[in-house]
Parts: sequence; C-alpha cells; structure tokens
Amino acid sequence: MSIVPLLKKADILNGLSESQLEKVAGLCREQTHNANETIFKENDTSSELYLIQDGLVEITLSVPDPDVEERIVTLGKGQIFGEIALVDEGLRTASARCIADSTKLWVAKREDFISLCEEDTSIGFAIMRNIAADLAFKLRLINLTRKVPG
Amino acid sequence: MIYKVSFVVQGGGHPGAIQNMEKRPEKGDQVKLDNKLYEIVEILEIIPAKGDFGYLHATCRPVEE
Repeated sequence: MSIVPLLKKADILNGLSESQLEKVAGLCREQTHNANETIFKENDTSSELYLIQDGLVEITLSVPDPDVEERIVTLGKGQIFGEIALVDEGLRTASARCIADSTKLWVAKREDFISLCEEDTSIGFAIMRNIAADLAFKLRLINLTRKVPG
Repeated sequence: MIYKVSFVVQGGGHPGAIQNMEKRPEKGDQVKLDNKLYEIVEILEIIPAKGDFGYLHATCRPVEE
C-alpha cells in the first residue's frame, strides 16, 4: 500500500508533488511501538527523522535534575520529531517515548533524507523550509505556554 | 484542510501538545490530550494557512469529570 496519501497529511512535506512524495515514501520504513517504549534518549547519537501516523509520543528533558524527566510536549498524528539531529547532526536534545499503544511511526534515515534533498534541490528546499517552520511552531508553543497562568 | 494545532493547558499539569485535526477546532469544543478531557477556551490563528494546512493555537482548561 502506498503511504503517499499519509505523507500528504504531514506539513513538513507541504508543497511536494505526487512524484516527489513517492521519492520520500521510498525512504520511509514503518515502526510500531507500545506505551512506555523509548524511541530514543537524550544525548543518543541516532539521527533518524520520525513522522507520527497514529498514536502519541511524549518528548522529555532530563534537566535540571538528570534523574527527573520533565515533559515538554506531547505530539500526535502528523507531527515530526527527531528533526534537530537531522539538521545539525548533533546528539539528541531530548528523549522520545510512546505513550499510547500501537503508535505507528514512519522513520527515515538522516543520510537517505539528506541525499534525496541534495539530489533534488526543490524537494530539499521545500522540506528544509517546512522543518524550519515546524521548529518555529514548536518554539511558539513554548513561548505561549510560558504566558498561560500556571 | 488539515489544522496543525498547538494546545496549552491552563493551570499546569500538562506540558502542551501538538496534533493535526481534520476539523477546525472551535472555542467550547472538548479535546482529549493524553486521555484527559479539556475544553478549548480560546483559539488563535498564529500563522497564515499554507497550502492545505492551517496553523492554530488553542488554550484549554481541564474539564471536571
């Protein structure tokens, strides 16, 4: 079954044509996780990009107390995570853990993703612009969270 | 249209959430975040729509169950 109809619902791929979406689909593999399964941990060196098809993923930070996990956001369907390591090649800045059973993810390896973006720069431009917009959206959420009375 | 919505919960206890919705959420709607029910008290269009995607911010409060 083609995953192109699902990819059309992900805004990081907004602006791509059907044939470009097919190329992206070719990079993705499916993963399913149950609640409480860790996808990656803060400071890991992994660099895959994840797209949530269905389910919920919680992003947590272990600062300031390394033994305490602070929840920073919950992500649902259509959202991406892991994009920071994809962009800067650094360590994971936070941990990602499933909080719903049968959470279905699509995963793409960084090197495959970057190769595609370099090979077809119109795909590369659209995706990088959309990833930047997604990061900005997440920053806006953090800023707005600080303004809401606790 | 798909709406990418960021949710902030008044009163703490929830870190906030981002999820896509196929129906535009409105003030007074109830949404489930992490299996708990919240009521939307304010909706803000924070970024102009692009293509088939709308970008909204919702402030919520817990629903007494």
